[in-house]
Amino acid sequence: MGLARPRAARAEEAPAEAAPAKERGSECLGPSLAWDPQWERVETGEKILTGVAAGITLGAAIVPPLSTHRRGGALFDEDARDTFRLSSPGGRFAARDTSDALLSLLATSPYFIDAAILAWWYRGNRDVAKQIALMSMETMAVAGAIQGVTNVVVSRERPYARGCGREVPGKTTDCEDPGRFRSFFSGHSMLSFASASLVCSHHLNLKLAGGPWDVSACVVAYAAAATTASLRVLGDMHYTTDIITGALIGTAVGLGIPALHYRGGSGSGERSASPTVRVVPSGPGAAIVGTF
Amino acid sequence: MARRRPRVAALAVALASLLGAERASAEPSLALPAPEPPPAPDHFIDPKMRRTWSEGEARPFLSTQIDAGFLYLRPRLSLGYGKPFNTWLGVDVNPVANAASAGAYGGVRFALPFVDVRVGARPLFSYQRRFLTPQPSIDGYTLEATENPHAHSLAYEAEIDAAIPLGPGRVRALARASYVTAVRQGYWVYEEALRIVVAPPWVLRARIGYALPVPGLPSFSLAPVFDLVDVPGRDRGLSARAGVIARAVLSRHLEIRGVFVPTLRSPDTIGLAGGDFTELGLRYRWATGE
Repeated sequence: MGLARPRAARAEEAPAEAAPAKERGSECLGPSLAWDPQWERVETGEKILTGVAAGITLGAAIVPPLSTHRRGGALFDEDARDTFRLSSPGGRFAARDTSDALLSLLATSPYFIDAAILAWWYRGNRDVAKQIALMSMETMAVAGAIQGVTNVVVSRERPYARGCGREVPGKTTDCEDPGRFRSFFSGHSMLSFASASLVCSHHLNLKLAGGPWDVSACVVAYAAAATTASLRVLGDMHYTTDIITGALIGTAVGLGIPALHYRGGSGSGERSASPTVRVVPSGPGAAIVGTF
Repeated sequence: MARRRPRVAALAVALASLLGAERASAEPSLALPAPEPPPAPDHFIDPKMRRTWSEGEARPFLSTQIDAGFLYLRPRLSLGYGKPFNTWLGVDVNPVANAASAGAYGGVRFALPFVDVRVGARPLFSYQRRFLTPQPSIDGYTLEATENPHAHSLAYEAEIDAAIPLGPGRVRALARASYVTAVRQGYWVYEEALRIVVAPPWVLRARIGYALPVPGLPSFSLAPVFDLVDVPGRDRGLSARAGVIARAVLSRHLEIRGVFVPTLRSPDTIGLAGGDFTELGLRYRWATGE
Protein backbone atom coordinates (compact mmCIF):
# COMPACT_ATOMS: atom_id res chain seq x y z
CA MET A 1 0.00 0.00 0.00
CA GLY A 2 1.54 3.33 -1.02
CA LEU A 3 1.45 6.50 1.03
CA ALA A 4 -0.62 9.29 -0.54
CA ARG A 5 1.17 12.64 -0.55
CA PRO A 6 -0.50 16.04 -0.40
CA ARG A 7 -0.48 17.92 -3.68
CA ALA A 8 1.79 20.66 -2.34
CA ALA A 9 4.47 18.17 -1.33
CA ARG A 10 4.25 16.38 -4.69
CA ALA A 11 4.82 19.68 -6.50
CA GLU A 12 7.95 20.29 -4.45
CA GLU A 13 9.68 17.09 -5.46
CA ALA A 14 12.31 17.12 -8.21
CA PRO A 15 12.88 13.95 -10.27
CA ALA A 16 15.65 11.91 -8.69
CA GLU A 17 17.58 11.69 -11.98
CA ALA A 18 17.70 15.47 -12.28
CA ALA A 19 18.87 16.01 -8.71
CA PRO A 20 21.47 13.37 -7.92
CA ALA A 21 23.17 15.67 -5.41
CA LYS A 22 21.64 17.61 -2.53
CA GLU A 23 17.95 18.42 -3.12
CA ARG A 24 17.56 21.93 -4.46
CA GLY A 25 16.12 24.37 -1.98
CA SER A 26 16.10 21.95 0.93
CA GLU A 27 17.06 23.04 4.42
CA CYS A 28 18.87 20.73 6.74
CA LEU A 29 19.94 20.83 10.34
CA GLY A 30 23.21 18.99 9.81
CA PRO A 31 25.99 19.04 7.21
CA SER A 32 24.75 18.52 3.67
CA LEU A 33 24.71 15.03 2.21
CA ALA A 34 25.44 14.02 -1.36
CA TRP A 35 25.07 10.87 -3.43
CA ASP A 36 28.42 10.11 -5.04
CA PRO A 37 27.73 10.22 -8.82
CA GLN A 38 29.93 7.15 -9.27
CA TRP A 39 27.67 5.03 -7.10
CA GLU A 40 25.06 2.86 -8.75
CA ARG A 41 21.50 3.95 -8.17
CA VAL A 42 18.64 1.49 -7.71
CA GLU A 43 17.27 1.07 -11.23
CA THR A 44 14.02 -0.28 -12.63
CA GLY A 45 15.35 -3.81 -12.97
CA GLU A 46 16.22 -3.92 -9.29
CA LYS A 47 12.83 -2.58 -8.34
CA ILE A 48 11.30 -5.43 -10.33
CA LEU A 49 13.66 -7.87 -8.60
CA THR A 50 12.54 -6.46 -5.23
CA GLY A 51 8.90 -6.98 -6.13
CA VAL A 52 9.46 -10.54 -7.35
CA ALA A 53 11.55 -11.44 -4.29
CA ALA A 54 8.91 -9.96 -1.98
CA GLY A 55 6.28 -12.06 -3.74
CA ILE A 56 8.38 -15.19 -3.27
CA THR A 57 8.83 -14.34 0.41
CA LEU A 58 5.08 -13.91 0.88
CA GLY A 59 4.32 -17.09 -1.03
CA ALA A 60 6.83 -19.08 0.99
CA ALA A 61 5.22 -17.81 4.19
CA ILE A 62 1.81 -19.04 3.05
CA VAL A 63 2.79 -22.38 1.49
CA PRO A 64 3.25 -25.05 4.20
CA PRO A 65 6.63 -26.78 4.46
CA LEU A 66 7.09 -30.05 2.57
CA SER A 67 5.64 -33.12 4.23
CA THR A 68 9.05 -34.83 4.45
CA HIS A 69 10.40 -33.41 7.67
CA ARG A 70 13.90 -33.34 9.10
CA ARG A 71 14.11 -33.80 12.83
CA GLY A 72 16.84 -33.42 15.42
CA GLY A 73 20.07 -31.47 15.56
CA ALA A 74 23.16 -31.59 13.40
CA LEU A 75 26.87 -31.29 14.29
CA PHE A 76 27.01 -29.54 17.69
CA ASP A 77 23.28 -28.70 17.91
CA GLU A 78 22.40 -31.15 20.66
CA ASP A 79 25.24 -30.08 22.94
CA ALA A 80 24.42 -26.43 22.36
CA ARG A 81 20.72 -27.03 23.08
CA ASP A 82 21.49 -28.80 26.31
CA THR A 83 23.73 -25.92 27.35
CA PHE A 84 21.75 -22.87 26.29
CA ARG A 85 18.05 -23.78 26.26
CA LEU A 86 16.32 -22.00 29.16
CA SER A 87 14.79 -24.41 31.62
CA SER A 88 11.53 -22.62 32.40
CA PRO A 89 8.67 -22.09 29.92
CA GLY A 90 8.34 -18.50 31.16
CA GLY A 91 11.99 -17.84 30.44
CA ARG A 92 11.70 -19.32 26.96
CA PHE A 93 8.64 -17.19 26.15
CA ALA A 94 10.48 -14.12 27.43
CA ALA A 95 13.45 -14.93 25.18
CA ARG A 96 11.15 -15.25 22.17
CA ASP A 97 9.38 -11.97 22.97
CA THR A 98 12.67 -10.14 23.36
CA SER A 99 13.95 -11.49 20.06
CA ASP A 100 10.73 -10.28 18.38
CA ALA A 101 11.16 -6.82 19.87
CA LEU A 102 14.82 -6.54 18.86
CA LEU A 103 14.05 -7.76 15.35
CA SER A 104 11.35 -5.14 14.86
CA LEU A 105 13.75 -2.39 15.92
CA LEU A 106 16.53 -3.65 13.66
CA ALA A 107 14.33 -4.27 10.62
CA THR A 108 12.85 -0.76 10.71
CA SER A 109 16.09 1.11 11.48
CA PRO A 110 17.34 1.42 7.87
CA TYR A 111 14.04 3.07 6.88
CA PHE A 112 12.98 5.14 9.85
CA ILE A 113 16.32 6.13 11.34
CA ASP A 114 18.83 6.03 8.49
CA ALA A 115 16.60 7.15 5.61
CA ALA A 116 13.86 9.29 7.15
CA ILE A 117 15.55 10.88 10.15
CA LEU A 118 19.26 11.02 9.33
CA ALA A 119 19.42 11.32 5.54
CA TRP A 120 16.27 13.34 4.88
CA TRP A 121 15.29 15.24 8.04
CA TYR A 122 18.77 15.86 9.47
CA ARG A 123 20.99 15.96 6.38
CA GLY A 124 18.34 17.37 3.98
CA ASN A 125 18.70 14.97 1.05
CA ARG A 126 15.46 13.29 -0.03
CA ASP A 127 17.16 11.53 -2.94
CA VAL A 128 19.75 9.79 -0.74
CA ALA A 129 16.96 8.80 1.66
CA LYS A 130 15.09 7.23 -1.24
CA GLN A 131 18.16 5.27 -2.38
CA ILE A 132 18.74 4.01 1.18
CA ALA A 133 15.13 2.85 1.44
CA LEU A 134 15.13 1.17 -1.99
CA MET A 135 18.45 -0.59 -1.33
CA SER A 136 17.17 -1.81 2.03
CA MET A 137 13.93 -3.10 0.52
CA GLU A 138 15.88 -4.92 -2.19
CA THR A 139 18.18 -6.51 0.38
CA MET A 140 15.42 -7.66 2.71
CA ALA A 141 13.28 -8.99 -0.12
CA VAL A 142 16.10 -11.05 -1.60
CA ALA A 143 17.15 -12.37 1.82
CA GLY A 144 13.54 -13.16 2.68
CA ALA A 145 13.05 -15.08 -0.55
CA ILE A 146 16.13 -17.22 0.07
CA GLN A 147 15.07 -17.96 3.64
CA GLY A 148 11.44 -18.61 2.77
CA VAL A 149 12.17 -21.11 0.02
CA THR A 150 14.75 -22.89 2.20
CA ASN A 151 12.22 -23.12 5.04
CA VAL A 152 9.68 -24.82 2.78
CA VAL A 153 12.11 -27.21 1.11
CA VAL A 154 14.15 -28.31 4.15
CA SER A 155 11.08 -28.53 6.46
CA ARG A 156 13.15 -28.97 9.62
CA GLU A 157 11.27 -29.38 12.89
CA ARG A 158 11.89 -26.76 15.56
CA PRO A 159 13.62 -28.05 18.72
CA TYR A 160 10.68 -27.27 21.09
CA ALA A 161 8.41 -29.50 19.02
CA ARG A 162 10.24 -32.55 20.31
CA GLY A 163 8.32 -31.94 23.56
CA CYS A 164 4.86 -31.64 21.99
CA GLY A 165 2.39 -33.75 23.92
CA ARG A 166 4.68 -33.87 26.95
CA GLU A 167 6.34 -30.75 28.36
CA VAL A 168 4.65 -28.66 25.64
CA PRO A 169 0.86 -29.09 25.52
CA GLY A 170 -0.06 -30.82 22.28
CA LYS A 171 -3.21 -28.78 21.67
CA THR A 172 -1.43 -25.47 21.11
CA THR A 173 -0.67 -23.36 18.07
CA ASP A 174 3.03 -24.07 18.54
CA CYS A 175 2.47 -27.81 18.05
CA GLU A 176 -0.34 -27.79 15.49
CA ASP A 177 0.76 -24.95 13.20
CA PRO A 178 2.93 -25.75 10.13
CA GLY A 179 5.38 -23.19 11.51
CA ARG A 180 6.60 -26.04 13.66
CA PHE A 181 8.65 -27.15 10.63
CA ARG A 182 10.29 -23.84 9.75
CA SER A 183 13.44 -24.19 11.81
CA PHE A 184 16.06 -24.03 9.02
CA PHE A 185 17.19 -21.51 8.70
CA SER A 186 16.29 -18.84 11.25
CA GLY A 187 14.41 -15.93 9.76
CA HIS A 188 15.00 -13.81 12.87
CA SER A 189 18.73 -14.36 12.61
CA MET A 190 18.82 -13.78 8.87
CA LEU A 191 16.77 -10.61 8.93
CA SER A 192 18.49 -9.12 11.97
CA PHE A 193 21.95 -9.67 10.48
CA ALA A 194 20.81 -8.36 7.09
CA SER A 195 19.43 -5.25 8.82
CA ALA A 196 22.60 -4.76 10.85
CA SER A 197 24.67 -5.10 7.66
CA LEU A 198 22.48 -2.50 5.96
CA VAL A 199 22.88 -0.08 8.87
CA CYS A 200 26.63 -0.61 8.73
CA SER A 201 26.83 -0.14 4.94
CA HIS A 202 24.76 3.04 4.92
CA HIS A 203 26.54 4.60 7.87
CA LEU A 204 30.09 3.80 6.78
CA ASN A 205 29.62 4.80 3.14
CA LEU A 206 27.45 7.89 3.65
CA LYS A 207 28.82 9.00 7.05
CA LEU A 208 25.21 9.57 8.07
CA ALA A 209 25.78 10.43 11.70
CA GLY A 210 29.34 11.76 11.50
CA GLY A 211 32.28 11.31 13.83
CA PRO A 212 32.47 8.08 15.82
CA TRP A 213 28.71 7.60 15.69
CA ASP A 214 28.72 5.71 12.39
CA VAL A 215 31.09 3.04 13.68
CA SER A 216 29.08 2.96 16.90
CA ALA A 217 25.87 2.39 14.95
CA CYS A 218 27.55 -0.51 13.18
CA VAL A 219 28.73 -2.10 16.42
CA VAL A 220 25.39 -1.66 18.18
CA ALA A 221 23.47 -3.07 15.21
CA TYR A 222 25.58 -6.22 15.01
CA ALA A 223 25.45 -6.67 18.78
CA ALA A 224 21.66 -6.46 18.62
CA ALA A 225 21.61 -8.96 15.76
CA ALA A 226 23.80 -11.40 17.67
CA THR A 227 21.56 -11.03 20.71
CA THR A 228 18.44 -11.63 18.62
CA ALA A 229 19.90 -14.77 17.11
CA SER A 230 21.10 -16.10 20.46
CA LEU A 231 17.69 -15.56 22.05
CA ARG A 232 16.17 -17.86 19.45
CA VAL A 233 18.32 -20.71 20.79
CA LEU A 234 17.65 -19.77 24.40
CA GLY A 235 13.92 -19.79 23.61
CA ASP A 236 14.21 -23.23 21.98
CA MET A 237 12.84 -21.92 18.68
CA HIS A 238 15.93 -22.85 16.65
CA TYR A 239 19.04 -25.00 16.67
CA THR A 240 22.44 -23.33 16.68
CA THR A 241 23.09 -24.32 13.06
CA ASP A 242 19.83 -22.54 12.13
CA ILE A 243 20.95 -19.21 13.55
CA ILE A 244 24.52 -19.48 12.28
CA THR A 245 23.27 -20.15 8.75
CA GLY A 246 20.83 -17.27 9.03
CA ALA A 247 23.56 -14.95 10.28
CA LEU A 248 25.93 -15.87 7.45
CA ILE A 249 23.36 -15.49 4.69
CA GLY A 250 21.90 -12.33 6.19
CA THR A 251 25.34 -10.75 6.45
CA ALA A 252 26.30 -11.81 2.92
CA VAL A 253 23.16 -10.33 1.37
CA GLY A 254 23.13 -7.32 3.69
CA LEU A 255 26.68 -6.36 2.76
CA GLY A 256 26.68 -7.67 -0.81
CA ILE A 257 23.75 -5.78 -2.29
CA PRO A 258 24.79 -2.38 -0.86
CA ALA A 259 28.33 -3.08 -2.03
CA LEU A 260 27.05 -3.35 -5.61
CA HIS A 261 25.71 0.18 -5.24
CA TYR A 262 28.35 1.90 -3.11
CA ARG A 263 31.33 0.70 -5.15
CA GLY A 264 33.41 2.94 -7.37
CA GLY A 265 33.06 6.15 -5.42
CA SER A 266 36.49 7.70 -5.38
CA GLY A 267 35.44 11.32 -4.94
CA SER A 268 37.77 12.34 -7.78
CA GLY A 269 35.04 12.51 -10.39
CA GLU A 270 36.72 9.72 -12.36
CA ARG A 271 34.97 6.45 -13.04
CA SER A 272 36.44 3.56 -11.12
CA ALA A 273 38.17 0.84 -13.14
CA SER A 274 36.59 -1.94 -11.06
CA PRO A 275 33.89 -4.09 -12.74
CA THR A 276 30.26 -3.32 -12.14
CA VAL A 277 27.16 -5.51 -12.17
CA ARG A 278 23.65 -4.20 -12.73
CA VAL A 279 20.19 -5.69 -13.08
CA VAL A 280 18.33 -4.20 -16.04
CA PRO A 281 14.96 -4.86 -17.66
CA SER A 282 15.12 -7.15 -20.67
CA GLY A 283 11.89 -7.75 -22.60
CA PRO A 284 9.38 -9.40 -20.30
CA GLY A 285 12.00 -10.17 -17.68
CA ALA A 286 15.31 -8.95 -16.34
CA ALA A 287 18.96 -9.44 -17.16
CA ILE A 288 22.21 -9.04 -15.31
CA VAL A 289 24.73 -6.84 -17.11
CA GLY A 290 28.37 -6.56 -16.20
CA THR A 291 31.00 -4.08 -17.36
CA PHE A 292 34.71 -4.40 -16.95
CA MET B 1 7.87 96.81 3.94
CA ALA B 2 10.43 95.25 1.59
CA ARG B 3 11.76 93.03 4.45
CA ARG B 4 8.33 91.71 5.32
CA ARG B 5 7.58 90.34 1.78
CA PRO B 6 10.05 87.39 1.92
CA ARG B 7 8.67 86.41 5.33
CA VAL B 8 5.13 86.54 4.06
CA ALA B 9 6.09 84.48 0.99
CA ALA B 10 7.84 81.88 3.12
CA LEU B 11 4.85 81.68 5.42
CA ALA B 12 2.54 81.29 2.41
CA VAL B 13 4.66 78.48 1.01
CA ALA B 14 4.73 76.71 4.35
CA LEU B 15 0.97 77.07 4.74
CA ALA B 16 0.38 75.78 1.23
CA SER B 17 2.60 72.78 1.90
CA LEU B 18 0.76 72.01 5.08
CA LEU B 19 -2.61 72.23 3.40
CA GLY B 20 -1.37 70.05 0.58
CA ALA B 21 -0.12 67.40 3.02
CA GLU B 22 -3.41 67.41 4.87
CA ARG B 23 -5.32 67.09 1.64
CA ALA B 24 -3.09 64.22 0.59
CA SER B 25 -3.68 62.43 3.88
CA ALA B 26 -7.40 63.09 3.70
CA GLU B 27 -7.69 61.41 0.29
CA PRO B 28 -7.90 57.60 0.21
CA SER B 29 -4.72 55.80 -0.97
CA LEU B 30 -4.93 54.46 -4.48
CA ALA B 31 -2.22 51.83 -3.87
CA LEU B 32 -3.46 48.22 -3.86
CA PRO B 33 -3.16 46.35 -0.51
CA ALA B 34 -0.07 44.20 -0.32
CA PRO B 35 -0.94 40.63 -1.36
CA GLU B 36 -0.93 38.02 1.38
CA PRO B 37 2.23 35.97 1.30
CA PRO B 38 1.72 32.44 -0.08
CA PRO B 39 1.56 29.70 2.53
CA ALA B 40 4.86 28.04 3.39
CA PRO B 41 5.55 24.89 1.35
CA ASP B 42 4.01 21.75 2.83
CA HIS B 43 6.98 19.36 2.77
CA PHE B 44 6.66 15.65 3.51
CA ILE B 45 9.63 16.09 5.86
CA ASP B 46 10.21 19.61 7.17
CA PRO B 47 12.88 20.30 9.81
CA LYS B 48 11.57 23.86 10.15
CA MET B 49 8.00 22.70 10.94
CA ARG B 50 6.59 25.59 8.95
CA ARG B 51 3.09 24.14 8.72
CA THR B 52 0.84 22.95 11.51
CA TRP B 53 -2.66 21.53 11.73
CA SER B 54 -3.82 24.58 13.71
CA GLU B 55 -3.73 26.85 10.66
CA GLY B 56 -6.53 27.44 8.19
CA GLU B 57 -10.26 27.75 8.57
CA ALA B 58 -12.68 25.26 10.04
CA ARG B 59 -14.19 23.22 7.22
CA PRO B 60 -15.70 19.86 6.33
CA PHE B 61 -12.90 17.39 5.67
CA LEU B 62 -11.82 13.83 5.11
CA SER B 63 -8.59 12.79 6.78
CA THR B 64 -6.50 9.69 7.17
CA GLN B 65 -3.93 8.61 9.69
CA ILE B 66 -1.83 5.56 8.89
CA ASP B 67 0.39 3.77 11.40
CA ALA B 68 2.87 1.34 9.84
CA GLY B 69 5.72 -0.70 11.19
CA PHE B 70 7.15 -4.23 11.36
CA LEU B 71 4.80 -5.90 10.68
CA TYR B 72 1.57 -3.96 10.98
CA LEU B 73 -0.54 -1.46 9.10
CA ARG B 74 -3.30 0.49 10.91
CA PRO B 75 -5.16 3.00 8.79
CA ARG B 76 -7.79 5.30 10.25
CA LEU B 77 -10.27 7.31 8.23
CA SER B 78 -12.04 10.32 9.71
CA LEU B 79 -14.88 12.43 8.40
CA GLY B 80 -15.64 15.62 10.26
CA TYR B 81 -15.91 19.37 10.55
CA GLY B 82 -13.23 21.67 11.92
CA LYS B 83 -9.48 21.62 11.64
CA PRO B 84 -8.29 18.03 11.16
CA PHE B 85 -5.97 16.66 13.81
CA ASN B 86 -6.52 19.81 15.87
CA THR B 87 -10.08 20.96 16.64
CA TRP B 88 -12.90 18.96 15.10
CA LEU B 89 -15.99 16.84 15.52
CA GLY B 90 -16.72 13.82 13.41
CA VAL B 91 -16.54 10.08 12.98
CA ASP B 92 -13.64 7.62 12.84
CA VAL B 93 -13.52 4.31 11.02
CA ASN B 94 -10.57 1.97 10.92
CA PRO B 95 -10.01 -1.67 10.00
CA VAL B 96 -8.08 -3.87 12.41
CA ALA B 97 -6.11 -6.72 10.86
CA ASN B 98 -3.01 -8.63 11.84
CA ALA B 99 -1.66 -12.18 11.78
CA ALA B 100 -3.96 -13.18 14.64
CA SER B 101 -7.24 -11.32 14.21
CA ALA B 102 -9.44 -9.09 12.11
CA GLY B 103 -12.07 -6.51 12.92
CA ALA B 104 -12.88 -2.84 12.77
CA TYR B 105 -13.51 0.22 14.90
CA GLY B 106 -16.18 2.88 14.36
CA GLY B 107 -17.04 5.82 16.57
CA VAL B 108 -17.52 9.52 17.18
CA ARG B 109 -14.66 11.83 18.13
CA PHE B 110 -14.49 15.35 19.50
CA ALA B 111 -11.01 16.87 19.53
CA LEU B 112 -9.55 20.06 20.91
CA PRO B 113 -5.86 20.95 20.79
CA PHE B 114 -5.22 19.55 24.26
CA VAL B 115 -7.92 16.95 24.74
CA ASP B 116 -9.51 14.26 22.65
CA VAL B 117 -12.76 12.42 23.47
CA ARG B 118 -14.05 9.41 21.57
CA VAL B 119 -16.87 6.89 21.89
CA GLY B 120 -17.18 3.86 19.69
CA ALA B 121 -17.42 0.13 19.16
CA ARG B 122 -14.95 -2.52 18.02
CA PRO B 123 -15.89 -6.00 16.86
CA LEU B 124 -12.99 -8.46 16.65
CA PHE B 125 -12.64 -12.02 15.42
CA SER B 126 -9.49 -14.02 16.10
CA TYR B 127 -8.54 -16.73 13.63
CA GLN B 128 -5.56 -17.74 15.71
CA ARG B 129 -6.58 -17.37 19.34
CA ARG B 130 -9.37 -19.19 21.14
CA PHE B 131 -11.62 -18.39 24.05
CA LEU B 132 -9.89 -18.93 27.38
CA THR B 133 -11.04 -21.18 30.18
CA PRO B 134 -11.13 -19.08 33.39
CA GLN B 135 -8.22 -19.71 35.73
CA PRO B 136 -6.18 -17.65 38.22
CA SER B 137 -3.30 -17.07 35.79
CA ILE B 138 -3.00 -17.36 32.04
CA ASP B 139 0.40 -18.32 30.64
CA GLY B 140 1.81 -18.46 27.13
CA TYR B 141 0.73 -22.03 26.48
CA THR B 142 -2.82 -21.33 27.64
CA LEU B 143 -2.99 -18.28 25.39
CA GLU B 144 -1.97 -20.45 22.43
CA ALA B 145 -4.29 -23.37 23.30
CA THR B 146 -6.49 -24.67 20.47
CA GLU B 147 -9.10 -26.63 22.42
CA ASN B 148 -11.77 -23.94 22.72
CA PRO B 149 -13.74 -22.18 19.97
CA HIS B 150 -12.23 -19.29 18.04
CA ALA B 151 -12.41 -16.08 20.04
CA HIS B 152 -14.55 -13.10 19.15
CA SER B 153 -15.78 -10.02 20.99
CA LEU B 154 -17.55 -6.70 20.66
CA ALA B 155 -16.16 -3.90 22.80
CA TYR B 156 -17.89 -0.56 23.43
CA GLU B 157 -15.44 2.11 24.49
CA ALA B 158 -15.26 5.64 25.81
CA GLU B 159 -11.92 7.37 26.09
CA ILE B 160 -10.57 10.77 27.03
CA ASP B 161 -6.95 11.58 26.11
CA ALA B 162 -5.29 14.81 27.23
CA ALA B 163 -1.95 16.48 26.44
CA ILE B 164 -1.65 19.52 28.69
CA PRO B 165 1.34 21.87 28.44
CA LEU B 166 3.18 22.13 31.73
CA GLY B 167 6.67 23.49 32.02
CA PRO B 168 8.98 22.43 29.23
CA GLY B 169 6.80 19.47 28.23
CA ARG B 170 3.31 18.12 28.36
CA VAL B 171 1.41 16.00 30.84
CA ARG B 172 -0.16 13.04 29.05
CA ALA B 173 -3.22 11.52 30.66
CA LEU B 174 -5.62 8.94 29.36
CA ALA B 175 -8.71 7.26 30.80
CA ARG B 176 -10.65 4.55 29.02
CA ALA B 177 -13.62 2.38 29.89
CA SER B 178 -14.39 -0.65 27.74
CA TYR B 179 -17.48 -2.84 27.92
CA VAL B 180 -16.65 -6.18 26.29
CA THR B 181 -19.55 -8.31 25.07
CA ALA B 182 -20.27 -11.11 22.57
CA VAL B 183 -17.99 -13.47 24.51
CA ARG B 184 -19.24 -17.04 24.80
CA GLN B 185 -20.76 -17.79 28.18
CA GLY B 186 -18.30 -19.19 30.70
CA TYR B 187 -15.19 -18.11 28.86
CA TRP B 188 -12.70 -15.28 28.99
CA VAL B 189 -11.13 -13.65 25.98
CA TYR B 190 -7.78 -12.10 25.09
CA GLU B 191 -8.73 -8.74 23.61
CA GLU B 192 -6.16 -7.94 20.91
CA ALA B 193 -6.62 -4.17 20.97
CA LEU B 194 -6.62 -3.86 24.76
CA ARG B 195 -3.84 -6.45 25.05
CA ILE B 196 -5.35 -7.94 28.19
CA VAL B 197 -7.17 -11.09 29.22
CA VAL B 198 -10.76 -10.02 29.81
CA ALA B 199 -13.32 -11.54 32.16
CA PRO B 200 -16.29 -9.74 30.65
CA PRO B 201 -17.61 -7.18 30.68
CA TRP B 202 -15.56 -4.30 32.09
CA VAL B 203 -12.00 -3.16 31.44
CA LEU B 204 -10.78 0.10 32.92
CA ARG B 205 -7.52 1.76 31.93
CA ALA B 206 -5.67 4.85 33.07
CA ARG B 207 -2.33 6.25 31.88
CA ILE B 208 -0.24 9.11 33.15
CA GLY B 209 2.99 10.37 31.67
CA TYR B 210 5.08 13.42 30.92
CA ALA B 211 6.43 14.15 27.44
CA LEU B 212 9.71 15.99 27.61
CA PRO B 213 11.37 17.44 24.48
CA VAL B 214 14.92 16.27 23.85
CA PRO B 215 17.34 19.17 24.53
CA GLY B 216 18.43 20.71 21.25
CA LEU B 217 15.86 18.70 19.27
CA PRO B 218 12.43 20.16 20.06
CA SER B 219 10.75 17.92 17.47
CA PHE B 220 11.85 14.87 19.45
CA SER B 221 10.32 13.89 22.77
CA LEU B 222 10.51 11.12 25.31
CA ALA B 223 7.57 10.40 27.60
CA PRO B 224 7.88 8.05 30.56
CA VAL B 225 4.42 6.61 31.13
CA PHE B 226 2.67 4.47 33.71
CA ASP B 227 -0.47 2.42 33.01
CA LEU B 228 -2.99 0.73 35.24
CA VAL B 229 -5.44 -1.71 33.67
CA ASP B 230 -8.16 -3.27 35.79
CA VAL B 231 -10.48 -6.13 34.92
CA PRO B 232 -13.04 -6.05 37.75
CA GLY B 233 -14.46 -9.43 36.70
CA ARG B 234 -11.26 -11.18 37.75
CA ASP B 235 -9.82 -11.75 41.17
CA ARG B 236 -6.65 -9.66 41.39
CA GLY B 237 -7.32 -8.40 37.88
CA LEU B 238 -5.13 -5.31 38.19
CA SER B 239 -2.15 -4.98 35.84
CA ALA B 240 0.55 -2.34 35.84
CA ARG B 241 2.70 -1.32 32.90
CA ALA B 242 5.50 1.22 32.65
CA GLY B 243 7.79 2.34 29.91
CA VAL B 244 8.52 5.11 27.47
CA ILE B 245 6.97 6.59 24.36
CA ALA B 246 9.41 8.18 21.91
CA ARG B 247 8.31 10.55 19.16
CA ALA B 248 10.17 12.27 16.34
CA VAL B 249 7.93 14.75 14.54
CA LEU B 250 9.44 15.22 11.10
CA SER B 251 6.64 17.38 9.66
CA ARG B 252 2.96 17.87 10.25
CA HIS B 253 2.45 14.82 8.01
CA LEU B 254 5.07 12.41 9.28
CA GLU B 255 6.10 11.20 12.68
CA ILE B 256 8.30 8.30 13.83
CA ARG B 257 7.00 6.69 17.01
CA GLY B 258 8.16 4.03 19.41
CA VAL B 259 5.96 2.67 22.20
CA PHE B 260 7.74 0.48 24.74
CA VAL B 261 5.45 -0.11 27.72
CA PRO B 262 5.95 -3.66 29.00
CA THR B 263 4.00 -5.24 31.84
CA LEU B 264 5.41 -4.89 35.35
CA ARG B 265 2.71 -6.68 37.26
CA SER B 266 -0.12 -8.86 36.04
CA PRO B 267 -2.08 -11.93 37.09
CA ASP B 268 -0.95 -13.47 33.79
CA THR B 269 2.44 -14.38 32.31
CA ILE B 270 1.90 -13.70 28.61
CA GLY B 271 4.94 -11.50 27.95
CA LEU B 272 4.70 -8.86 25.25
CA ALA B 273 1.14 -9.94 24.43
CA GLY B 274 0.15 -8.33 27.74
CA GLY B 275 2.04 -5.08 27.22
CA ASP B 276 1.68 -2.01 25.06
CA PHE B 277 4.49 -2.51 22.65
CA THR B 278 4.30 -1.23 19.11
CA GLU B 279 8.00 -1.29 18.33
CA LEU B 280 9.21 1.41 15.97
CA GLY B 281 6.73 2.73 13.46
CA LEU B 282 5.72 5.73 11.42
CA ARG B 283 2.51 7.75 11.53
CA TYR B 284 1.38 9.54 8.40
CA ARG B 285 -1.38 12.16 8.39
CA TRP B 286 -3.22 13.72 5.48
CA ALA B 287 -6.41 15.74 5.15
CA THR B 288 -8.46 17.35 2.40
CA GLY B 289 -8.71 21.08 2.07
CA GLU B 290 -5.11 21.86 3.02
